[in-house]
Amino acid sequence: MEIKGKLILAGVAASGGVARGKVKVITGIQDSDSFEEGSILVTRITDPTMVMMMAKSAAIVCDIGGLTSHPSIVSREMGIPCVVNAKTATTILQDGQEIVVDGTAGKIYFAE
Amino acid sequence: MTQEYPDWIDEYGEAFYSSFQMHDVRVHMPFNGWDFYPLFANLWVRKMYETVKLFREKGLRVGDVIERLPNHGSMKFKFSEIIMCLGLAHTPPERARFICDFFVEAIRAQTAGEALWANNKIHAFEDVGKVIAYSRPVPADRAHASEIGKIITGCATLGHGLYNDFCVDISYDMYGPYDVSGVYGDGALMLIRSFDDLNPTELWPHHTPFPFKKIRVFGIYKNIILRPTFVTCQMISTGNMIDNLSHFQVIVDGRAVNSLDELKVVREAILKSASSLYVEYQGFSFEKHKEFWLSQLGYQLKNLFDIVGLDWHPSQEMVNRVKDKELVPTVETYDIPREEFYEKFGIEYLKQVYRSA
Repeated sequence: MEIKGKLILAGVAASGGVARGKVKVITGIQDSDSFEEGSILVTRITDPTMVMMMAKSAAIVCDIGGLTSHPSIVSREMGIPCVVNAKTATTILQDGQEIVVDGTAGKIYFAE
Repeated sequence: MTQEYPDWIDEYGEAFYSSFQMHDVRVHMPFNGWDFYPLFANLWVRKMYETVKLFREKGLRVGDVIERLPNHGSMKFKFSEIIMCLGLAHTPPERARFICDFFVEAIRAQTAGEALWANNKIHAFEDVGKVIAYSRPVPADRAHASEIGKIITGCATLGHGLYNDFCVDISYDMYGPYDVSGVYGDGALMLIRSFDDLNPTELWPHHTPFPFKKIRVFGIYKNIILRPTFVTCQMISTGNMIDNLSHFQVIVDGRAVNSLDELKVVREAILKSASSLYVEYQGFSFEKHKEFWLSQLGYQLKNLFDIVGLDWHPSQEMVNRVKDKELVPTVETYDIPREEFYEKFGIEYLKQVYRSA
């Protein structure tokens, strides 16, 4: 699948597939109420309090993590794209931005 | 056996090293356990030695107690921590070999197939048919697969709260992949996720009981590649686990659950429990986390301690040892040369103790 858009970030390809959606940067369970179904969950690293949001997300992007870290394992089980170790995702990406996450290549683009 | 040490050590080193090259030490919660062990390594080794000594003195045989041992994932991961502790504690070689020989014997007995470490198979090929007959998988569609993915996510996450990142294997073990092409067609693989203890009332005696005790998910997949790692719950998959689920069965506390409505009920209960428990767990103070971590550690090997009649709770000496102490920076990254990694994780020490035999 050809992805059109400007490359923003690259990291470790943790779970394959491509998803498009709006960024929601989260820090913990306090973000649950404002997290909308189909959003792209962006965080430093997922923790178990975020599991309800993870189940509603279209893709997951984390600043840190490896192929066997929590977000990688659960995103593969849920069949959604995931990029970890994107380093500066939580500072570069802003709430509401429309992005495309390519979990197969480990790349994140601005959506066109 | 090479001229110097048993062959299993090289295979272990490779499997363990490869596994952690895919991990990130910064993500461990509630803290990096490798930095915790230096505080009490010699006490943990002493307990392991007492356990194995009792096992041998009682004349027990691994083959006779295999069903009562801690699960496969727990035995493997706890063994890796013990190996590190043997080095940290400068354990006398004879004592170190005594402990290691027991664990290798037990893990070998639990493992089917030739590879010992990066291998999740506990069922022999001829027994897989019995597993299918017991689980009776039903055809899956995308909606079922999505619910199952969320149930697995919820169970794995609940396990992280109940047991912490280093002891989670007790609640999340994974078996396979098994070739089931003879029943389900070309390329069909069966993977079993086993969540064995999701309601440990002895470990969480004051907590409201969790909704389910044991959940097993039997999944038949096509067109995916599954690669086991040293850590059994960290199987690497290539291919979409939702799109490629062909058949499934979910057994919840002995009951088959496979309708979409029932799966949603299980999913909702598990996700809520997982999230709320971790909020509570995150609220622990550092001191409370350290003390409870020791309980989680002991509980993971409870089945083994039960066999020999030892208490699984941490001794007061262990609790005192970690009280008011900071962690000891030991493993700051996994991204280090193999030689340095082997040194830090006790693998070089392991070679030495066998060389000296």
